[in-house]
Amino acid sequence: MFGVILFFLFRFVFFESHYVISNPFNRRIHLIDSNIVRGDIFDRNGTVLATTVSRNGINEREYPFPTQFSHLIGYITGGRTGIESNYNFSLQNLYLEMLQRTYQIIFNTPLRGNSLVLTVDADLQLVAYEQLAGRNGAIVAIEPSTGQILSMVSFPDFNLNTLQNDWAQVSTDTINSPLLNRATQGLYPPGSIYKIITALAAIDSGMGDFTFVCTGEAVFNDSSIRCFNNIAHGYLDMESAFAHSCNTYFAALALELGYDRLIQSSEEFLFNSVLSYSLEYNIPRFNLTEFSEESELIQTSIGQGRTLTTALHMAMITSGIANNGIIMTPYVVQHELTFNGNIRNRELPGMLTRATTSENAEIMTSMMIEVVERGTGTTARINGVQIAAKTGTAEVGNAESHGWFVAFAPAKNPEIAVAVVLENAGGSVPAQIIAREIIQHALG
Amino acid sequence: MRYVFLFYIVAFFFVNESKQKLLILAFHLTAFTILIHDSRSASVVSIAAASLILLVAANFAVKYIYSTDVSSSKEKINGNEKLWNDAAFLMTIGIVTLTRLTITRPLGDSLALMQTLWFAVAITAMLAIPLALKIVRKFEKLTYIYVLVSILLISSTLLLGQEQYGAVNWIMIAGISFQASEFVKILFVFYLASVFRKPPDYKKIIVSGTFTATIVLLLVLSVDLGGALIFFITYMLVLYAATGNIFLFSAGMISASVAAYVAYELFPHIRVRVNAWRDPWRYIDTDGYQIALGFFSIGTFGIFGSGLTLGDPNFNAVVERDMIFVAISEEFGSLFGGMLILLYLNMFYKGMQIAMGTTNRSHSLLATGIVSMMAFQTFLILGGILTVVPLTGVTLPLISYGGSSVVATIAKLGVLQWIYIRSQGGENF
Repeated sequence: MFGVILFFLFRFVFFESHYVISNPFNRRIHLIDSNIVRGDIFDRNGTVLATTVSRNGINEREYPFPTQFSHLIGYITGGRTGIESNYNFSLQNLYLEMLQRTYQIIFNTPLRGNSLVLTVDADLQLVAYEQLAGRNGAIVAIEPSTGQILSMVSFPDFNLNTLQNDWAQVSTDTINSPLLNRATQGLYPPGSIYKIITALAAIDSGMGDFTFVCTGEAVFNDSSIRCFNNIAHGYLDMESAFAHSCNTYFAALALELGYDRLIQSSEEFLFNSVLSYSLEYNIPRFNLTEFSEESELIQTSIGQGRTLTTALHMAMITSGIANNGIIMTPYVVQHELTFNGNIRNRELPGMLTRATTSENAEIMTSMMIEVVERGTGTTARINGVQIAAKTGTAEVGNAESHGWFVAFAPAKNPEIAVAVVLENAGGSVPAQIIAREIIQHALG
Repeated sequence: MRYVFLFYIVAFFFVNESKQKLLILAFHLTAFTILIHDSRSASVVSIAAASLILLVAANFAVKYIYSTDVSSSKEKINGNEKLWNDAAFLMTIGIVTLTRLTITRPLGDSLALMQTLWFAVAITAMLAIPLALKIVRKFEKLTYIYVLVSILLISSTLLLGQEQYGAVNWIMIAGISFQASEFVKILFVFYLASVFRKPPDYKKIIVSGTFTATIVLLLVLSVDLGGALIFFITYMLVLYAATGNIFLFSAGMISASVAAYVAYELFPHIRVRVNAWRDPWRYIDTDGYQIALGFFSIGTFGIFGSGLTLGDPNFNAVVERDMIFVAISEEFGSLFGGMLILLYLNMFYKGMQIAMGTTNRSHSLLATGIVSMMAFQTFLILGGILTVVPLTGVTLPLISYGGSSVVATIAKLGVLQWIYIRSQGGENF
């Protein structure tokens, strides 16, 4: 009888406790033990992103890149977010505790927590940051085959080194919201990049040969749809409609497709779903139901309506297409590095969901290649590299539209998938330039 | 520093009786030194002093009272010292933990002080037991009196009782809450020893079974599910010891399972417990909260614990009573927690040895009943914490805060000592 008790205790302590104690309900994970030197944070190549230095006998946290990784690294003073908060425990976890404590007693060596090696590439991040050039928005780059996050930028941002002093100001700045991680928590209407999902829903339902004649404007019952600048695209098949991002085509398509298929496709691509990302993020929203008005169906099909997505989500969707229809679980921490150089808790790539079949993904890929070859994404062209992409201009009430661009490259055997959103850019071209430079750097 | 406490408890299993007492003393002094240093509070010093006096005085008192002449030889025996040491160690660990949990409270509010006082009362009463049992010579024949008083006590709880922690189990007398079921438990084991003192016929089994079933039902109605289970299992175990009849035992267990299923369907509060037991993480913000918090305590700081005062054990529900084990695991380490479980096991093993070491049938059954009851109760609360079984609100004997529990447990141990001494030849005891 008591053997059972001891067995359960043993089992919990040695097998289950590691997973359980990081539960956010466990307020102990926020404890800061000032006797322990917090581990460092490195990028995938060993570049130091966060370290602890001793000043006047006090341990202080120092960030060699004060603003470029702000939201990702996060903080635990004032508020709690990012890696510093969510991995607080690991950063203060003493590997070989008894040994370290003994050494401390005898040799007075400091107690060192585990360091973290991220999936992020600092060089790429700096390029992305520079490309964003102080405009409001977000960039997320993922390696499609593994789900590793190669870069994550959000602007406006804040200075990690002076955060404690600046706290009163940054935490109340509701105009810029610098503390908001726009890459994972910024919810924006997707605009035309949503057509990826509309098109896939149609292809999956055998409607890949839908054709339509676009005259620049169309009226369906009581709602009217216009193409960008009222351009009349003429006779269109799906490939052309996608390449030129024709609104009226997709509106007509959606009406033929019906609510259910569009809803299903969106959910397959993780709208209203948990994204299994270990840091803070918002769940992308899709509110269309079979009881919605027809006008909402139309608006939704072109990425307007009440649909909201994040850069992280769109990067994941793009990765899914790049990866034969499989979306991998996104992660940003590769493994822990102990004080004596051992690797622990290595995160392995895992499949999050199969969003679509690999045949459909291939069809979508060739459509996305056309976007860059002859469609709305020609600004993103790079000599010698085949890029697959989709542009988006998301209307926002009375302000300038947001500019979206999602892409992956090389189109066959992709190494990187990028999602860029620029607030109030007016069009997708600035986003295309950013993505192009990032891809160039990543593949170059 | 945390390794020192581990050393104390591990060494405890390997040394002789006198060294064990030294280890307990060392534990007490080490722990309170840390607590005094951390709190710089006069109340902690008072508690340290009071519990130290208790420990030492109780030790001498126990030795004195239990020292008797063995009639068949000229030797003296001193009661079952190892049994007493186990209890003393548990008591000390308990008081230290309670002090730690209420370290910032003023003296009047301190649970540790109250617990120390209750122990003092309990041990005094325990030492009076041999005298009482001497006077009531033929206590094993008082079957009906036990039944009567038990029913009286339980009914009075139902009528006058106040709800605490979701169960109606406490009666307030002169401002002190008093858990009647603890005393009924003692009467109950005496009853069982009495009714089965000769190998029972079916009539006796049916009568005792009905009486037990009544108690169980009354307890279920007053939502003391743990208590109900304890009575039932104790009955089953003593019945088996008295009759050796495995069929009866199995039949009892099967009907209990059926009853449990029925209860699950009928009573929402049982469903809540079962949900929390099956998957505390899914219901973490509702039914599973208490259990989840317990797991955090046990798991966060590893097998060596956070160190006394360095953890966050108060981030738990009912931590001075039901969940006290997790607080100990958090700060002293889960390895220490495991050793603590072994300490209980050791105590129960000694108890069973006493049960089997006596030739007097009713004494043997009495001891069996006592040990079964305590062991099952310990199993119930530890199992509940670790999700082996659904959580029930019973106390961890000698460690959880609770005057009635302390007095009752010490009294039971006193009876065991008495049986032991009797069996070793101390007929005049």
